[in-house]
Amino acid sequence: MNNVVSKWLMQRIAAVLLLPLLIWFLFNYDDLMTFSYLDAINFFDNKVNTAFLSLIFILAFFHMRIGMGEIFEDYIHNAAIKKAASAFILLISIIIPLVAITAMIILSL
Amino acid sequence: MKSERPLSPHLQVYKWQLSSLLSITHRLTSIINLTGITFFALWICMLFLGENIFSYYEIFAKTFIGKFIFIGFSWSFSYHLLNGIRHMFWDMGYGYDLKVANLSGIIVLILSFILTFLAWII
Repeated sequence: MNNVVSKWLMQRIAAVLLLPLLIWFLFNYDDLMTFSYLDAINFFDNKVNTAFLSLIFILAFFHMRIGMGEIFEDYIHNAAIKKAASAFILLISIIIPLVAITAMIILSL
Repeated sequence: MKSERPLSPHLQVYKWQLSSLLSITHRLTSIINLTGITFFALWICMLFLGENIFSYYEIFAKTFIGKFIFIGFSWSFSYHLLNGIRHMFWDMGYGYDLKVANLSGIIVLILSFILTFLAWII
């Protein structure tokens, strides 16, 4: 399998895994965004919630990095800018899940 | 080599049709979803930093703009998720017939609003 095909497949596998997780997320999102401080703290007492959200962060950013690569491939025709944009996306796809997951784990301890 | 020609996939020169509109919406919602999940990470960080910091978020969440943004993110998640299922059928080789593709597009669009509505009332 060449690199492009394996990326294509990996993105689809991440999408399939995200599907049930995101339906769960969608039905919790409205509550989460309107929660008071204590409600939100209580939400993370349940370790299943932390586990599901952590999986979503990992899979979504993995899926996103491949997808953004496709968008850059289509719209950015300057090799240097494309490389910089890909590096930026790689950076945020590591930092954001890492920070969010670390914070959630500490909150649920 | 520099040129002023439009870049592929030439959005400026396409004749707008349902199929292309839904396709570009899939990409637009992907970028909105990235913004949404980043915003959600910020929410986690504010919660982590304690009640004082989180109170700033709570003020924002009560505003009309706040609610509008959250419902907008919900719709964007819903659309991308449902249209993603449509893409998976294409990947497996189904649904390429023009009539079927247009119908599935309309179904996805309608369902995205229904799913957003259900997510907010349940």
